[in-house]
Amino acid sequence: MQVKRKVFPYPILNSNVNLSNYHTASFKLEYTFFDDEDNNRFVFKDIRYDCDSSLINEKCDNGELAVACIVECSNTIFRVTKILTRQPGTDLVLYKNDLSGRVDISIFAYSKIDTVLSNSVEFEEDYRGIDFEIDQYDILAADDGINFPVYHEEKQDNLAKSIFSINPVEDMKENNYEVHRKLHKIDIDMSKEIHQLYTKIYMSPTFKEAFFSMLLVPALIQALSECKEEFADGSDINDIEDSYVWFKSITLNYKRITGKDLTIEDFKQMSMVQLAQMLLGSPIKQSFESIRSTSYTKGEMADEQ
Amino acid sequence: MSNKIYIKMLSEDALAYIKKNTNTIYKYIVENEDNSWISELGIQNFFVAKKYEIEDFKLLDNPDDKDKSIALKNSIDLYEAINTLPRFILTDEKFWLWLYLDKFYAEVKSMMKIQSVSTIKDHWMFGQGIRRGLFFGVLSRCYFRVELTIDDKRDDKYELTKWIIDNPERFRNLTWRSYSSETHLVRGIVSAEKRAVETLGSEDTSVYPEVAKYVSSIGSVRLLDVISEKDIEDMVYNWMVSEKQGRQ
Repeated sequence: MQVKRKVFPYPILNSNVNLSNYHTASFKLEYTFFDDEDNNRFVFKDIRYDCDSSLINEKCDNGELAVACIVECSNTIFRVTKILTRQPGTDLVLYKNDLSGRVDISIFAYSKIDTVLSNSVEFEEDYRGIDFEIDQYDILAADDGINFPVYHEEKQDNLAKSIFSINPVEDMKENNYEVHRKLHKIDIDMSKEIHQLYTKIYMSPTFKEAFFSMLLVPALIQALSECKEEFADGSDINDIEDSYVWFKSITLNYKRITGKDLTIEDFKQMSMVQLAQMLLGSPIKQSFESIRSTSYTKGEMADEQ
Repeated sequence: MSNKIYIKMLSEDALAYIKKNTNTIYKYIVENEDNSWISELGIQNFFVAKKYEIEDFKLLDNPDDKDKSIALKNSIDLYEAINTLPRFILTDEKFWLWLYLDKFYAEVKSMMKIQSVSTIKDHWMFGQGIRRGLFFGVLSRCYFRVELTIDDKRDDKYELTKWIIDNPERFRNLTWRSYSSETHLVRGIVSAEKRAVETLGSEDTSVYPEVAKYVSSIGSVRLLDVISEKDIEDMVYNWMVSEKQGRQ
C-alpha cells in the first residue's frame, strides 16, 4: 500500500518532501536488512520509524497516534501489519515462501482516536491557522518505503535451458523467428513448421553447436543489446537482474567462465556479440566443423589443399 | 491410511506454449474428454513434479457448479488438501494449470462450460493478471473463498464460506480491491453483509458493489489495515442499514 500523490484534507507528513505538508519535518522507515538464506527468510532487524516532528512524536508518545508497518505482496495475496516504535529491538521477519514478485513495505502514522490536529508552526503556510478534525484511523504521516522483487527459480546447470524458451506460435507463418525478452526467459518464437524441424535436430550431438550458432547466439545478442540500451543510464547489474530473472543466469555464468563479477561498466563497454558467444561456449568453430564433416561424408566439399 | 502425492506444476516451456497457442489448446480441450492430447504436443516435461507433498483428494462432479452443497464440499476439500503449500505455489498459474489440465481435467470441464477461448484465458489461465486469475479461476476461486472467510471464532468455521458460496455476489466485488488481501477485513465485511441481510429480512444484490466502494472510500484517508474486524463489521453493517433505509 502506498499513498504516493494522494491528497488529504488535512496536513500530512510525507517522507517525500515534495508531497509533505510539513515545513521541514521528516518521517521515515529505518532497519538493518539481513537475507537469512539458511532459513529462507528476510529479516529487517531493529525495524522502527524515525521522526523529527515534535507534534507527531508527542502524539505517538501519549498514545493518540500509532505507527504501523504494512507489508504487501499483491501476487501472493499477502498483506501483514506490524506496529513500530522509534526504538530498535523489533524485527520484521518475512518468509520467502510467502512472497513472489514485488513486495512493498510502507509505514503510516495513524490516529487511534477521534481527535483534533491543532494549528502548528510545523505546517506549511497553507495549513496554518486551522484546527483539523481527525477521525480514528486517519493517516497523519506516511513513508512509501521500499519495494523489492522476490523470485523462486530452480537452478539449472545448463545456461541455454535456463534462459531460453523456444516456442511454436499458432498463426505464425513466416520463415523467420522472433525474439522477445520476458521476465523469466528469452522467448524465441517461430511457426509450427519450423518448430517441428527444430525438435528433430536440436537433440542431435552433430548439430548442437550449429543450432546454438544459428538460433541461440543471435537471440542472446539481441536480448543483451536491448538490455544494454534499456539500462544505459544510471543503473547497475542488480537493476537488470531485478527486471529480468534470466539475467541472473548471465551473471552467474560470466563469473563461472571468467572468474570475476560482471560489472555494469564492463557490460556497457563490451561487445554483446562477443559476450553472447562466450556465454554459449563459442560454438562457431565446432558448428563449422560439424557441417564440414557432414559435407565431406556426402562428397559435397573438395579436399583441403 | 495416508496417501500422499507430490504436487506438479507446468514447466515454464509448457506455460509459454499454452500462452502462445491458446486457440489450439482451447480446441484440444473442447474436443477431448481426457488429456491424452498433451503427450502429442511434443513438449518435454509438460508437467514437472515438485518436492511438496499433499494428501491425495478427489472432487465431486458438479455440472455448471450448480449444486451449492457440492460446491461447498469441493471448496473445503480443496482448501484442506493444499492450504499447507507455500504461498508462492498456491498463487502460481503453473500450479493451477496442473490441476486443470491433469489432476481434475474432467471435473473442471464439467464445472464451467467452455463457451469460447475466453473461458480458457480467463478461467483456466491468468489472462487478466495474477489477482483476477486467482479469483476468476475455476478452482482457485474455490480455494480463496475458503481461505479468506474461514473463521475459527464461529461454531462452524465455514459458516461465512457457505454464505458466500450460496451467492458469490456477496464476495466477488471485494476481491478486485487490494484490501481483500487482509483476511480480517474480508471476514468483517462479509459478517456485516450477512448480519444486515438477516436483520433487514431481504437481500438486494445490487448493494454489494457499493459495499466494496464504501470500504474503499473509508480507506481513502484511513488506514484500513489497522481497523479491527469488529469495527469494520459495524461500519459496513451501519452503512448497509442506512442505505436500505435511504432507498425506501
